[in-house]
Amino acid sequence: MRLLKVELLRLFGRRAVVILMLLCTLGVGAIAAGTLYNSRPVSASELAAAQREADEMNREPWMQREVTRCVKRGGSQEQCESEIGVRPEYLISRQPLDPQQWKVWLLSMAALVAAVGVLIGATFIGADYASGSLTTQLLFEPNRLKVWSAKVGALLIGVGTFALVSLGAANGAFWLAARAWDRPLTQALQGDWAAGAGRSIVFAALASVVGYAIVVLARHTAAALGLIAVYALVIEAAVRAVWPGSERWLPSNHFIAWIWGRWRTKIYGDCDFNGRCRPIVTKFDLSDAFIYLGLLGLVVAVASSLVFRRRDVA
Amino acid sequence: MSDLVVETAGLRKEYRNRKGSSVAVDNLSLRVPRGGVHGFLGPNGSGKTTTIRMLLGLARPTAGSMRLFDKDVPQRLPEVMDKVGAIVENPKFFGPFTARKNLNLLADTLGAPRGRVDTVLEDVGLSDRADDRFKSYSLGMKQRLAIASTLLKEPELLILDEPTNGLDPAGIREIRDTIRSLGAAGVTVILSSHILAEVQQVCDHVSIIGHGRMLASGDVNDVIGDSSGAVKVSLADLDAGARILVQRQVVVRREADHLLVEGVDDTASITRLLAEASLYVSELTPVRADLESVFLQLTGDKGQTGAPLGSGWAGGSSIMRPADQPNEETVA
Repeated sequence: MRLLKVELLRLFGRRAVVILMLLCTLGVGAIAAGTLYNSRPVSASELAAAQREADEMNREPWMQREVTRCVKRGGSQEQCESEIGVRPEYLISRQPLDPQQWKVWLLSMAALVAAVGVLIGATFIGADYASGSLTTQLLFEPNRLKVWSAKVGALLIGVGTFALVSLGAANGAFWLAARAWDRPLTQALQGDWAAGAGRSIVFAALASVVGYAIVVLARHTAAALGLIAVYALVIEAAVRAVWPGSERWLPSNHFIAWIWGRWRTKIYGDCDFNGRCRPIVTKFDLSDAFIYLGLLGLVVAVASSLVFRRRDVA
Repeated sequence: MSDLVVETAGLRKEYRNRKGSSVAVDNLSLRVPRGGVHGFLGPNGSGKTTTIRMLLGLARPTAGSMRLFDKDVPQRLPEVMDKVGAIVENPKFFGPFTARKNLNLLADTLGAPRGRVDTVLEDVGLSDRADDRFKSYSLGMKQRLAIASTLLKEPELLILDEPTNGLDPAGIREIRDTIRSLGAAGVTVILSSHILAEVQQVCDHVSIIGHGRMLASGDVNDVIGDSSGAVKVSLADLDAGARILVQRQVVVRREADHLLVEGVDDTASITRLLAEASLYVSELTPVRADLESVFLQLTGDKGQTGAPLGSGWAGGSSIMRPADQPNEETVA
């Protein structure tokens, strides 16, 4: 416990970690604020302005000609004005907040928080290696597994708490807005949403451990982050392109399934010589994602702990 | 209980790289008795730091055994580490943290009270700069902070790896005084150094290592005493002086501006022999053999390292190699 407290102090004492958390909070805040702003209810003044604009458009000569033509075809004046004329709601493109869209909001925010979690985990141990302070730490606590575990514990608690606060606040804001704006919120929807948010928090905490573990394996923060970036930008796309049946094994699908509870991909890759293609559908459920991500994380973490125990420290 | 605080047997460390493998430490048996200041001397690249890193669990030995305070390490290192303070190479702390914060984290790791941090900062004279960031410190201040960190443990064994590297003369003196006072206070200090004068000035015992192998070990005076002293003789006519002394069966080495007379117990006989030939001595100085010459003797004067011997040494007198000797005459 003593070592865990020390590592928590070390984690939150690092400026880079605090800055990353602040930037992430701003990012999550921007996603939430932007989405809420663009789905806010239409105000009376906006409606009145739209009404004025619609009236003006309806008074345009070309509009009048269209209405006249419609009447000549046998319609009533009122019916034609209603069918052809511009209504105020046409001029308000904003869609009201739809709580069914929680999956979209949550996925983007969870991905951002998880990415920052990876960065925090990577920079946390990377700075120890780069400064050489890990040597000094091991002179005070030579049990390496204990040091490794304390750092992992600090990341799980630190990043987990951060994810809880940031994702909790953002999702809470969505929920409060939906209630305030009388949007439909069923029990089932709220349950799925809360569970998805909880799983995002768990994922972010574990992502920080994966970032940490990869830096331990690769020795350098830059090498580890480069590896992650290359995977995200190139490797997954390349694997998809050359192997249509690869969806089952791609981490991004399991990530989505983990956040949403289920996920399905449909790839038209099985084509005959006439060019007719049959879709390859791959379904992912929560247990698939749990096993896949859990095993992946476990393998990386165990490899990292073994390397941390055995490797010479400069 | 053994009276040795450090004991290694057959210690070996190999590093593997693309070109093959290199041996940093080879069959090293190091024995450091309890108490006093023990010098761990050798040129750069001789395996001192690697040995220290293995003792402290920072590197894994390829073969051999190590014991600290009678406990096998690295297996039982956690049991003895509270008694060991160490600085390995450069002081290593987290740069953006203040000195106090760095020490607070280490004190918390030990479970030491925070008050202890203030005490050790005061001990090394860093109280006024304790809240400055480590990265803003000069090298001397960093070394002092590193020593402060070792004192957090109140250690029984202090291992200092090249602690005066990069320090100015005042800083060097300060560190040496600190080492002496810690040794006098009963702490066993292992001072790793490539500086001969430093070991001579500060240490009671010495182990000399070269090319990863133990070359000699013992009391500093005994190790130095093993090599016979010489006498530096200056006079106007060096050639005539050398001829006279050689005729009287004295071993003489002709240097550029003096003679080096070896194996003479009675130095007064030199002045007498020369004066009889109307040659008058302007300087007669006993040359005390130093650790450098001991090192050269131990490695057979030829150097086993491949590089010219002495290339890694600093602070000692100039080295004479057989090839450099302008003249050496011996009377049979």
